[in-house]
Amino acid sequence: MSAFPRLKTGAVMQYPASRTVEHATRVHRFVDGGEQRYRERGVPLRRWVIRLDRLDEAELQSLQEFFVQAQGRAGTFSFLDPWDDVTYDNCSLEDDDLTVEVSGEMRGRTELRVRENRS
Amino acid sequence: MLYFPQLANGAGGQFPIKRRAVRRTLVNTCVDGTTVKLADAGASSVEWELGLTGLTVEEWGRLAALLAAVEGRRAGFTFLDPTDNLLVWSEDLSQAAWVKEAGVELTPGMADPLGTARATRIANTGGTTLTLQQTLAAPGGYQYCFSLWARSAAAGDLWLFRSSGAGTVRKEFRTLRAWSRLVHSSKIQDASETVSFGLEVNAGQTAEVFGLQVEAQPGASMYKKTASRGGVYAEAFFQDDVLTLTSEGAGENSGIVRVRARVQG
Repeated sequence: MSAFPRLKTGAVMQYPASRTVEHATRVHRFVDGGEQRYRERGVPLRRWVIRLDRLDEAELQSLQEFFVQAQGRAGTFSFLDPWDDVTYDNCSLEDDDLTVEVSGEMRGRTELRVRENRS
Repeated sequence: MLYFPQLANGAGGQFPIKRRAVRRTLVNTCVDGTTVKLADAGASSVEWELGLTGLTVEEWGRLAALLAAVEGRRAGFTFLDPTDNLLVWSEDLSQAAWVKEAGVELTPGMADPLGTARATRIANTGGTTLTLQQTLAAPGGYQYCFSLWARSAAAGDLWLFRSSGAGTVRKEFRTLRAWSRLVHSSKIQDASETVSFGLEVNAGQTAEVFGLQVEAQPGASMYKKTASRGGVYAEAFFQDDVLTLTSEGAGENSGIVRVRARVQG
């Protein structure tokens, strides 16, 4: 399985970076005010927003190759979460498009959104 | 054939450039959160947004003429990606896209200047100078920069050439033990619809090469590896029917051009 590419520095993400943990809870509310709540998924799913700036052409190329190999959100890969240093093996991109903007030498920018898949 | 024009300085674009790769995935999300996905490769495309400033009337006129010729979004033209390597199989010289003369022997998997093992050893086992080249379906009269890294165990000579209908422009380089990046930039007056890039190896000589790259611009930028897909898009389209020019003075014209091409193969 392929892994999400690292920058030349070895980092996966730059500031500002976002991580969300999503639970799926179903709530039934009854006429008498009572509620019944239950999990729709056994485990929460994680999402990361990776905003990358000041990338050089090789780093941009690596990310674009990764996107093409993953075929957008169709493919799966492993992602190392820098917050907890855990590798999540079953992840996908959330989008079918990847925009890179180059505003000068060593000044590339892009943004990717990664989600953990339900196994 | 219609081609997206180069600027007067030979560049294919200016900063900032936005490039958007688009894929389509069919996704079936089940109630428990699991998903079934199918990639739709036929719907793949690339989009560029070129911010152009400081253009002369002639430069803008060439863009407007292309828009008129293709009638806005209706018809296609050839677009050379200003952010990519125009060659295909930049690291696999055994592919059919690379035409080598009999007597040229290739050994892949050699150490390269990036610290990996992606270089190729080229040996001329014949008795005369032999070539290895790739032909692109791109205009013969554009400015191109052909670059690669090379070295040889013993000092030797390596020729880089660019060839099209109007002739061949060759440049000789000295190869040494250490890697050096060889850059051959050229432009000729030529109306051909194909252009070839390659290297000539003298009889009995051996050289290691890596990072073969062609760009439609005067100088070499950072190397980009390619496989079956290079930066030549034979059927690109304007994304707009309108081209808006903003003039801020003589020779100070600007505008944004958006181009889209399907990715096939």
